[in-house]
Amino acid sequence: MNYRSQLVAAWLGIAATLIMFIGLWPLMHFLPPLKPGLGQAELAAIYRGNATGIITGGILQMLACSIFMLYFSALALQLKRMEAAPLWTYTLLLTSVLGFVPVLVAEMLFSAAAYRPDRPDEIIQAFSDLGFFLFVGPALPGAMQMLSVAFAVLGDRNAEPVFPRWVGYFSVWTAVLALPGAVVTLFKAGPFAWNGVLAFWVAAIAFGLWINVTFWATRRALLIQMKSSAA
Amino acid sequence: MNLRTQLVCAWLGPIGTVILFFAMFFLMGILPPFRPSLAQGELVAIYRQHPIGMLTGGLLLMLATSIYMAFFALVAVQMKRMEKTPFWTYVFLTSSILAFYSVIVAEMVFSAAAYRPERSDMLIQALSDLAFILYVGTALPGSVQMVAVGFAVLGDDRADPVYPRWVGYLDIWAGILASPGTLICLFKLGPFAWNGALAFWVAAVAFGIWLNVNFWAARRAILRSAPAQRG
Repeated sequence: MNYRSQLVAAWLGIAATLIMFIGLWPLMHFLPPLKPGLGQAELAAIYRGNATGIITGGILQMLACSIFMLYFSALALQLKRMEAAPLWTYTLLLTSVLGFVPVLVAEMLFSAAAYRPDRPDEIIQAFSDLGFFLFVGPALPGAMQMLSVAFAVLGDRNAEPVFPRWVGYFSVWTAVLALPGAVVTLFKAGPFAWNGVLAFWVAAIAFGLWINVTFWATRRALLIQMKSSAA
Repeated sequence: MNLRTQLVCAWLGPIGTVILFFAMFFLMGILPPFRPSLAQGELVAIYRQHPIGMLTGGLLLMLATSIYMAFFALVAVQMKRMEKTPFWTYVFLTSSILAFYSVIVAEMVFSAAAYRPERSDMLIQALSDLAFILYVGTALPGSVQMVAVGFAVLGDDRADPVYPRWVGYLDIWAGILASPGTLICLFKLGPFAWNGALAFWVAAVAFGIWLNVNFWAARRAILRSAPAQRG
């Protein structure tokens, strides 16, 4: 029963990534993210023109954040099996919340910006800026999430390791690639702006790959556990 | 953890709820919440005339959120006794923070709206909107939090279950009833607006019942386990 819940939770990680993508792309039209250099009037017109899309996309972001907690809990349980004392398990749980609270607040800022079309352009812009800072900026808690998986995997002393060792090295690399998002507040254009190649695209792809690889490893570990408990 | 500490943590749940109610009703005057359709002039007059109530009420919301963490930790301790692998315990802990972090951000945004009476009407209204969206709109993480306890209770296959099974069903129903708050950004009046019958009142009552029933069940479980621990 519990293994099956965990397996469902592992799949929810993939589902959440997909929901996030649907929210961002066809609904909010935030993929690619709105340019930081966009004129104030142009930006405000986007929020006024697509208010319903931005708000329903925001709801999907909240849904994704909520079910990501189930995924990270399932992942944390695998980490716990690797560790003698659950240090990296707790670090993963804490940084998962620290990394996803800003996404939730960001989605509400986008929604608040779109909620009243009669808001002045200036306020819409300020809410939008703050929303993108919160959405793209929390790269460090995200990197810490990935590193806690890496350290747990590489420290695994089980005769038959829970995750293959390469998942650990892979997590280190995705953490490094996710870092540039941390500096978005210093740039208005170029690769380090919130719509930039490094700060946004490379980081988003690194996160997507990391979710898929850890999903694969969690699912594999669970199937092995289920087989050995049935035997 | 000793018996008395556990009982104190259990009582912090209802105490947190009383503090929350006191702050919202007597100090901030946001029970019932301000109507989304309230004219801008009327809305900003409330913030300008009662800044002290808004600010001190905000402090109490922070206090309530903080002591809730001890109550939720206690619930998590009971959940861990129900589970072989602490999957729902982890889901519960992470979604508890995800849900209540936005209460802290909301109370700070309410405070920021009241902090400078000379702020423009437009800006006070925008901050007030954002605060209500954060406060009432963070429904899905709260639903996951409530449902997580339910699944842990229903998955408890010990001969002498930690909680009675009906608590599990009640937790799941409370989680479902708390979810309509998700939609508030799409409405300015009616049952799904942030002051609406479903999005606010039913959700708030569901949370209140969930909290009190889980307080009762946790207290009962602590008292029942006490002689066993001594003997």
